[in-house]
Amino acid sequence: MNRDQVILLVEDNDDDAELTVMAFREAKIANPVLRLEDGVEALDYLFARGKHAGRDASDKPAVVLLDLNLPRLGGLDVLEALRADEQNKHLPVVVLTSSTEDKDRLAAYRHHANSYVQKPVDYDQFVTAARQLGLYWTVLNVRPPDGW
Amino acid sequence: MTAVLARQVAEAERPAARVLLADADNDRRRELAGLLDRLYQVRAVADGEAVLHEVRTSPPDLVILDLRLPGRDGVDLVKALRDAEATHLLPLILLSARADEDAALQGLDAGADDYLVTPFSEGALLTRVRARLTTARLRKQSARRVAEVSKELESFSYAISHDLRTPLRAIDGFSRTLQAAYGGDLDDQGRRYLERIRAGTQRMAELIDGLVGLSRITRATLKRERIDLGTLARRVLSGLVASEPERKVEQAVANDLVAQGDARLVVALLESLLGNAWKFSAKQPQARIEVTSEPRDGDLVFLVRDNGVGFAMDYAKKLFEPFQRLHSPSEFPGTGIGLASAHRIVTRHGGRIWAQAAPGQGATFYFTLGEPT
Repeated sequence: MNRDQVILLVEDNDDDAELTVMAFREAKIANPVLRLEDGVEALDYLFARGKHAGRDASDKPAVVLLDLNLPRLGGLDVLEALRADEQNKHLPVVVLTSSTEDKDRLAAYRHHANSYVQKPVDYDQFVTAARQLGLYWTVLNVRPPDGW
Repeated sequence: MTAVLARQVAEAERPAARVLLADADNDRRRELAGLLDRLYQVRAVADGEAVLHEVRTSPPDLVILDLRLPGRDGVDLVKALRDAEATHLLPLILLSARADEDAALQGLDAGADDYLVTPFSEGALLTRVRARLTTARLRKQSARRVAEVSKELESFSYAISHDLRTPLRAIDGFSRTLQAAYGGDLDDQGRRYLERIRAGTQRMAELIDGLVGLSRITRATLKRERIDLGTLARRVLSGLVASEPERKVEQAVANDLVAQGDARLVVALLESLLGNAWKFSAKQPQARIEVTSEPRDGDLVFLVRDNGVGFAMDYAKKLFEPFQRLHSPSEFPGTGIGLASAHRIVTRHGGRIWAQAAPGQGATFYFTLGEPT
C-alpha cells in the first residue's frame, strides 16, 4: 500500500480532469493525482525527458488513467510506446474514456491495457468508479517486483 | 454546362476500358481485336492459362471468352474466375458456336454475365460490351457510395457516443457538486431546479445510449444461426423478473420457437418487446405475457402479447420511429428507442414487424425473421 504514489491522469478535457480529481477526493482516495494534458507530455513524464528531464523515472505512478482521444499523441500510441519500453511495459494502465465502441475496446486490449473503464455520465456513478479504481490500483493490486 | 453535355465530356475523358479478349481462332481474334481496339484498350490471348495470367498481372475491366480455348475447359475457366476474390465481379461475356450453346448456358450458370453465339454482328458485340461495362461501373459506384455512407455513419455515431457524453458529464458533475457544496445557500425552489438539471442530463445520456445502440444494430454483421426464441425469451423474462421480483406476471412461452437469426440481435429484439410488455402491463392486477408463433401467408410469425394498457391503433404508424412515444414519461418511462431498434433488427433480418392493440386491451407485436425457418 502506498498513499504517496501518484495516480497519473492523462486527460485533455479540463472539465473531465477536474471531475475526476473531485471524484477521487470524494471517494477518499488520498493519493496525489497528477494531471497531464496530452500523450506527448505523458510520455515525457514517464520517460523523464523533455520538460520532465531529470525526474527520477523509476518513481512510477500507481496507475495511469489514460483517455483515448488526446491531442498530439493519442492514448493508443501512448500505450504502444509504453509497452515497447523495457522500463514501462508492465506499468498499470487503465483506459478511462467515454467510448464503449467495440473498436476502441478491442484496440485498447490489443495494446495491452490492463483495464478499460467507461466514464459514467452520472457523477455519483463516476465517484463510485473512482473509489473502486483508486482502492484497487493503490491498495489491492500488487505491483511487479522492483527493477522490472 | 448542361447535365447531358457534362456526362458526355466525362464519358470522353474517362480512360478507355481495358478489355481482355481470349479466342483461339487466329483470324477471328484479330478481327474482333481490331473492332474493339477503336474504343477500348484491348489485350488478346489464345489460351486459358494466358487468361488467368492476364487477369492477375494486368486486371481488365471486362473479359470476352471463347468457350473453346486450348488447355482449359471454358466453363471451368468461368468458375475459376468467379471463385477468385479479385475477379469475382469481373464482367464476363462468352463466345460460343451454335453447336456449343449448352456450354454457354452452363457458363452463365457458372456466373458469366452474357454470351454470344457465332456468327454475330459487330453491333451485337459492341452493345453487350458497353452494357456490361456500364453495369460494372454503376455497381462499383454504388459499392463505393455504400462504403462512404457507412463510414460516415460510423464516425457520426462515434462522435455521438464520445463527444456528446463529455459535456453532459460536466453538467451533471458540477450541478451535483453545486448541490453538495452550496445546496444550503439555495432555497427549495433552487434545489429543485438543480434536480431538474440532473434529471435532464440523465435523460439525455439515455437517449445517447439509445441512439448509439440503434446505429450499432445497423452496422452489426448479421450472423444467422439456428436459435430457439423460446429459450431466449425465457432468459429475457427472468431478467425482468429479477429487476422487479415483487411483480406477479404470468408467463406463457411456447416451446419449439425455432428460427434462423442472429442470436445477439434477436435477444435485443426480445428485450425491447418483452421489456415493453412488462412495462405496459405493470398496472394490471393479473398481468400476462405470452410468446408464441403462428403460420401466416407461408411465413412463421412470432407473437409477443401482453394484457397491459395497449394503445389506439391511430398511433400505430409512429410506433417504430425513433423517439416516438405514446405515453408521457411520468406515466411510463422510456426513451422511444426500443421499438425503433426492434424494427431495425427485424428489417436487417429481412423480416417484418407490426402491432395490434386497443386502449386497455393489451398489445400484440408480430414479427418475422426473413428466410423460412
